[in-house]
Amino acid sequence: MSYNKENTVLDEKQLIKQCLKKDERAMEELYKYFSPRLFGICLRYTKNRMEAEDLLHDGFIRILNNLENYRHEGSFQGWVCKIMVTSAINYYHKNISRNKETDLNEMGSEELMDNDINSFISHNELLEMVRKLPDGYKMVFNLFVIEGYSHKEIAARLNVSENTSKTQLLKARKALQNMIFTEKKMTYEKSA
Amino acid sequence: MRNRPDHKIDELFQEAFRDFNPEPPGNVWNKIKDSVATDSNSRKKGFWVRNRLIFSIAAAFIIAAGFSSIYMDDIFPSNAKGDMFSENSVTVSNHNRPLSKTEENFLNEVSPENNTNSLAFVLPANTNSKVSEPSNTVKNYYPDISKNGYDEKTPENTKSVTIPEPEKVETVLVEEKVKQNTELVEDIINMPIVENIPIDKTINSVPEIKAVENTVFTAEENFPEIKVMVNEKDQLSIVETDLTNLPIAEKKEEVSHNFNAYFNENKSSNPEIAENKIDTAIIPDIILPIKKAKNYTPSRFAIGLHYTAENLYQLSNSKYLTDRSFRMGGSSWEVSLNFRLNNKISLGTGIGYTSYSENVYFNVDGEKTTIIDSLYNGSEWEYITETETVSYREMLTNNYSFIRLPLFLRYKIVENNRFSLHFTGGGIFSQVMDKREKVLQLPNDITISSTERVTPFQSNYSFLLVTGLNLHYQVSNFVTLGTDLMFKRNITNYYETGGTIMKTPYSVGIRGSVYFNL
Repeated sequence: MSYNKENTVLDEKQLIKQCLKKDERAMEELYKYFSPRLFGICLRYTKNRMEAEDLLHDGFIRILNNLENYRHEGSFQGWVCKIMVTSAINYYHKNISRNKETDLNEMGSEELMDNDINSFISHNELLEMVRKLPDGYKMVFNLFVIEGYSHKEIAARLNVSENTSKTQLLKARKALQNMIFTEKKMTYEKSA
Repeated sequence: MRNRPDHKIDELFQEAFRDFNPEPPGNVWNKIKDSVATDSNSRKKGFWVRNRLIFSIAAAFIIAAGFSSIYMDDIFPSNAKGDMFSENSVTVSNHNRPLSKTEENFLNEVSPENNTNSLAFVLPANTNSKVSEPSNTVKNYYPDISKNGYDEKTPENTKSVTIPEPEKVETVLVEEKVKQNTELVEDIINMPIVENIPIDKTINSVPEIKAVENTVFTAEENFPEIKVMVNEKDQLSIVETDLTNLPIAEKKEEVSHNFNAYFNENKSSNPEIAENKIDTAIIPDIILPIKKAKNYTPSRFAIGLHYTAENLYQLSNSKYLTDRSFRMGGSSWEVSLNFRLNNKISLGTGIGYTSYSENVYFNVDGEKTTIIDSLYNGSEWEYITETETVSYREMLTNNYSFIRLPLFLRYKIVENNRFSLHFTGGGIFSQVMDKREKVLQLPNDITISSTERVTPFQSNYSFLLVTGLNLHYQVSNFVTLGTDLMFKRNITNYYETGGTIMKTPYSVGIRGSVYFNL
């Protein structure tokens, strides 16, 4: 078979065109291609998988509804991820009053404990640590460290001041450091 | 868009989530599909309703064509049974092999109800691809899953497919990633854990505080709340003001306050703070209580009441009173209206009543005749007299009252807590309102040859220049007390006649003021 490199690239324009025509298969293809990445984003911004699934659902619907606004400028993946992050922020604003205080010592059932005696911390453990952060810390940490927003942008999106954003980041780092330290200490003690 | 990690923790998490692509559960797509279908159905209904006439005609035509074809087939039978495989289609060569796990999962995702142990793809001619593990790239094909195996005929409308050669999967250096992760974790573990975010203690000068308008800070039990910010050193420091200069006169130790402790101490008594639990949702700007002396944001307008005690000094150039200074005491009451242009400059005007006591000197020249002896010459008495020249001075006190109209400008030189020092400059127009002048009573036994009135004041009006230093003390937001040292100088002579000139007098006085801020 002759290898056609063009066929390995997601035919964005064609796919978007089909999705705009509400072609279910095209939408499904789009979903399959981006859902792992988007689900990763959702997991970081929510407390549990159920919330992450809800967010993925809402975010993808928003992506489909906004496809006509995509100007084919820049990376399509970047655009899609941006929409999902925006959905995450909206989700946060909607649920902010119902957020209960998170017990930083609580261990989630989905967490995979790393029993290795070395200092390696798995992705799942790191994810759990982020998810255990209080909502405010989590939002700022994700937006600043992972998504790369500036404090000014974060402040505008979360309707807080830049000072609050900076302070929340400081607290998030402190909380994560404590979690890492505590977990590794427990691991060392277990192995001892 | 990603920020360069400036912290080990940032680096650890950035690396961890860089390629974090977990598979979502399958039910999510079904929900999305349902949501999209619901939306499109509602649109479709509208489409069918709007075009029902056209569809009705089309349906009638199709039915008619169907009936006619039945009859036509009877008339023109055909033996052609087209092979359902396209001439250009080939089946997968290794279709008999069992599916790999990935392929099985793929089938489950695409069409769970058709999952079999084999799958068939219709390929374009000259392709000899074998089924391989689907990569993450989108395959531009629609697989046709057969229920019973590869050799079931596929419908002619199966699209031709192109299975791309799988991309070369990047070799992930797992060992390197683990090593990087481990090193970062070790560094983070060994980093000192900061229990409390420290307050910036490097404030060397009295900082300026952002003041809430019309707020009076108290230096008593209820500490006011000053907004702080995180500075470039990631420390909390006091926000500088751009509204007013309200310096803190407190010690630096008092400024260094642990805000965590403040929250813990005050959350029970302060519900607002209690709600903003520091370890949960986003809280407003960090609020730090700081002891602070009282200060105020002055209002735009103020009415002043003033009392001045002053002495008027003047030099005379009279032939009798050469270079002799006179002093005239006086006092005045004033009401002023002050307008604050900005934090430094105020304008003022007003009206005042001044009274002076004027000492009027009369130089009296006369002759006094005294009978020292008497003789009778037979017809009349002859008196022997002695005459002496008399020259004396009489002083009378006159009282004058003036109305004064000042216009001045006040400049704040320095301010410290509630005290402020100002410099005042301006002018006064002074008009005599009333004169009460006593009449010189001369003795009868003296023949007055001449008198000369030496009076320091005779003009009905005058202009004065005024300068002064004002010390103000803010009692409260509403009341200010002031003490002024005033110096006034007449720019016109009070008296000039003949050989006597009363030079422009000046006055020095102390004024007490009360200002009411509006």
